[in-house]
Amino acid sequence: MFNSRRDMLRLLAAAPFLAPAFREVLAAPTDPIKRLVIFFLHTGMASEYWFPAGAAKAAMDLTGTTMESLTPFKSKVSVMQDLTVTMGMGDGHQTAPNAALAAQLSEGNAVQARGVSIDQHIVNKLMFPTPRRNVTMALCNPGGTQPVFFKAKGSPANLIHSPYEAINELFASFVPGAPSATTPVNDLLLQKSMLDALTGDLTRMSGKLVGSDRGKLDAHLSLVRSSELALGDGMKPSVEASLGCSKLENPAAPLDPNDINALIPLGRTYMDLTAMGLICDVSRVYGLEVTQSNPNMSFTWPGVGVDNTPVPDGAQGLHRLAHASAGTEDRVLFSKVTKTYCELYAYLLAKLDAVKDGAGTLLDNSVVMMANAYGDNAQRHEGKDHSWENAQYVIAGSGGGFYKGGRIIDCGGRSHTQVLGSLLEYFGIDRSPAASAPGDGEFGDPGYSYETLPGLKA
Amino acid sequence: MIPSIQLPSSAPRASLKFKLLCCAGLVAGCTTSISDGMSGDLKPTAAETRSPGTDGATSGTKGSGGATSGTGGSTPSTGSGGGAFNLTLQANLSPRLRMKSNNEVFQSLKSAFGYEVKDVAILPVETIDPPSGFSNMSSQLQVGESCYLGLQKLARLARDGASTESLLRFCVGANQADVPCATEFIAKYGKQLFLRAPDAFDTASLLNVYTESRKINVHLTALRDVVETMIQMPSFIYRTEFGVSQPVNGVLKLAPLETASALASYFWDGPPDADLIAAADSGSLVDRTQIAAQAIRLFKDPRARTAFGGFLDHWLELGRLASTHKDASLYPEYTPEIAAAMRTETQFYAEAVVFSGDSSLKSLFGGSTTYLNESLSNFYKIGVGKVTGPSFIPVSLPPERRGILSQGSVLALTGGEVSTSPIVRGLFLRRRLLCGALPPPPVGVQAMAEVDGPLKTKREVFNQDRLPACQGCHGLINPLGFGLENFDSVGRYRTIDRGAPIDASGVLTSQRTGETAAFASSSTFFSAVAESSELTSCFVFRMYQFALGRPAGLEDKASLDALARTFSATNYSISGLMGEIAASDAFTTRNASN
Repeated sequence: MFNSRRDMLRLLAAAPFLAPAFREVLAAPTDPIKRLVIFFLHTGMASEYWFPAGAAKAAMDLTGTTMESLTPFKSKVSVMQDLTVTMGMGDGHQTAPNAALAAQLSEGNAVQARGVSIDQHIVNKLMFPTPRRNVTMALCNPGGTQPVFFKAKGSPANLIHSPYEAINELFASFVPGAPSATTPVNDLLLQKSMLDALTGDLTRMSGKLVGSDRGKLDAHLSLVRSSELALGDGMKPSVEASLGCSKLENPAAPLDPNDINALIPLGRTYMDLTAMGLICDVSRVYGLEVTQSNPNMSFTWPGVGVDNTPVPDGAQGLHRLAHASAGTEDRVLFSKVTKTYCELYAYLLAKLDAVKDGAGTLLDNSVVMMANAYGDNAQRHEGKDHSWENAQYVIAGSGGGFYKGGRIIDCGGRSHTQVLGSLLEYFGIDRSPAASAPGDGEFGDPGYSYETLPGLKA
Repeated sequence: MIPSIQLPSSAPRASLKFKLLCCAGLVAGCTTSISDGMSGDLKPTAAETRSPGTDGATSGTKGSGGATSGTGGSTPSTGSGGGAFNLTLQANLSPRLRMKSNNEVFQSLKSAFGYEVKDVAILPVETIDPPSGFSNMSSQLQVGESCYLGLQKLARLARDGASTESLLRFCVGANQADVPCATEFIAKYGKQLFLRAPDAFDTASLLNVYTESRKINVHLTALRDVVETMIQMPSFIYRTEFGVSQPVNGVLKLAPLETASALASYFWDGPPDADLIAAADSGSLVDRTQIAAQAIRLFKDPRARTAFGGFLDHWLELGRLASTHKDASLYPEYTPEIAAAMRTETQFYAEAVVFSGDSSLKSLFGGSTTYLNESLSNFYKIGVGKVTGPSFIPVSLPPERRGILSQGSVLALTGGEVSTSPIVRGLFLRRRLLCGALPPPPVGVQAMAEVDGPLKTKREVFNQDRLPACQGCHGLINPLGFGLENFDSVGRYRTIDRGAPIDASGVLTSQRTGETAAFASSSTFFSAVAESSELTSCFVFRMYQFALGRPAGLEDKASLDALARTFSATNYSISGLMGEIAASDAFTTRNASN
């Protein structure tokens, strides 16, 4: 029996046969913990405002661009250019979110990713010793419309819709300095292998079924997942107090979590709790999706706003801006919206970069990805269609030196699945998609590449 | 007309000792000899007696999972397009996923690993589907939290309890600590438990378990860990019906092993045996003749009696009997032991008719014999002094009693705590046995209060002037209850109610055709029910749902009509009906669009 995580660590040093997952879990204290945050946007971007050009691009000078707020961290940021989103045929408002993080073509217009999304895939494969397996949240998308995080084929992950609710869930019963694991490592590995067999069988069987039959298996799967969580709890490590963990409390006067006019302060609260969640090691994988793919919402934020006048095809509000043609006033407004999103992203980066972690910062030892369902919509029928060209992907944080940063990478039209492949490589997960994919609930699609994107690695 | 499949009755077996499975509460391993028909004299002989098993005759709980009495408003509505059957549009008539029953799981573990479950309550009782009354309806069965935890515990117990012989069966002469041995183990037991050959994915994930365990355990223990995992895998817990190849005209034919599994589930409430699997593997379980031959074999096996007991329990809601309360000051003789004996009586009787007698539904409802032990004989005051001891023996009934409806089980179940309620009894018969469609009472109608004063008998009370609007339904309900008024709340014969003579006459009206059958007494009432076409069509409807584990809908009309015709042409042979269903397209094919 082990009385402390330290005991387990000692065992690890003498146990080279341990699976990579557990090597990671039980890695020596000096090894950086691997963390992932996915900041997911739905609306694409205006590339003429987004990228610097010419010498500015070579120097990664972001001044005057949509991404200007990332300037303080630019040495830790990789911006993808000319990356292609893999999406399905059908109504792009649904097929693109379905395909985005599950990394495979989606089928039809239903909310039905054909496999798990990468965040879930990672935590399924790696059993992190954290109180929460992972955290999925939505900012101003109260209906959970067009979800991107999927726990199984066609089954969206449970979304937390309010940052205040998220604080309650993550910190209400949180006790800094939680007890250490007491279960022998090999027993845990054995238990995990048994649960893996169940989840694998369930996922495959579920992939062949529809309707209530599949619903039963999904319910069954959630029970197995709870066992995995419990197994993780058995390995809960003590909190690294040196990072400055403190319990987050909710404000006395919270804002309406569904009020899109309050998107910026709500988003900042989400970022606050994500940062503290990483500091306290409540979870290591977070996903936050912002609005939805057809946000027909009017709003007023500082410096930018839009009314509900629809364009001829019916899009209105924020959605109307996303479909704006190049050179229009709406296009300018749209770039300001995405600038606001970048500022939220930068807000989180700043929080993480302010935390000393080993020789670097918490940002250095994390991966914070900004992802999008689309690219530059104006490149398709002058904005009438959502576009798969020039996908808006940014990776910040070097993951403990795994990524290089400080560059704009010309992706040459490669699929965004290769960015996801890079993430899998970072986490040490097999990048070859299951032979039976797509459509059986597994991650990925043999028809796409999950090779690391050239230029991203250090 | 479709030729019927006549399933021969089993020959009497030497050992008549019966045993109740703890979980299922079903009679097993028993038989009887009533070859001289259902009107034999009281002929207690040593060879014909049955002794309750030591584990108690009524410890079963399978049917006690909360089925409601026939008041659930669950029958199909009138005026639907089902002809003789009240059929309505039903969703999901071809589920692809069927969770195994507890007994199927337990029997599989016994068969594969020689592990006998000691505490059947380790898994929660199957949920009863209120409309059908059965606990094998696929729509109701899924792995909830308590079941999930129960399966975990069961898997751990079976892991430890699996016989060493079963674990080492496949590695004779080989290096037993080898991965190849584990691979063979997984291949063989995977086939047996999953009813399909394990694929590369199964093998890899189970070998991973073996490998992880082997790092800290000996070979045998690592195999036990594989067993523990397999038992919790959905490939074992569920039966799937994906069919063979592509559907033809929207119809999917079950794969042979799927048919084997469905047959074993239906006839045995258990897994297929080696013969059935071999038949499936060799292509001998494809056509109607082959399936019928297997159905006959399965029916003749003692396991069929157990499964039929499960059908009976749910069809007649006998599981509720143990929890049916009576006023002890009024009925001090009605003890839990008597209630248990009543259930046993019905089980023995039905089994004798179906498996050893002529198997006719008419005999089940019109027969003049029953099975009693001494205490039940004294309770009914039938054959007093001629039946001694705890064993059940065949006894001739007095003329006022005939068939299963005259047995204490049904009468006490529907009898009321203090006094009889013709409405409760009538509703039970109308809905459960005649598949009548009755809407709930109109809003605002209150239950009839007990009255004192000049009205004496229950019949007088219930014949009081009622709102005319009530008569549409109560004209169909009340006479059925009146026909049973000669039996008190606990099933004893009586001729006086509250000091006044009982009038058990009435008219049985067919809700479907409007035809009437008058009866003057309880004995003619039982005959009228036995001869009712609604009884026979309802039985076909119930057995069909039980066999298929799903509700019957409009698209089943042709199948049900054909089965009803055959049932009628074969003297309402229950065994024949069971075989016909097994060999029918409804059983062996699925609608691909679902």
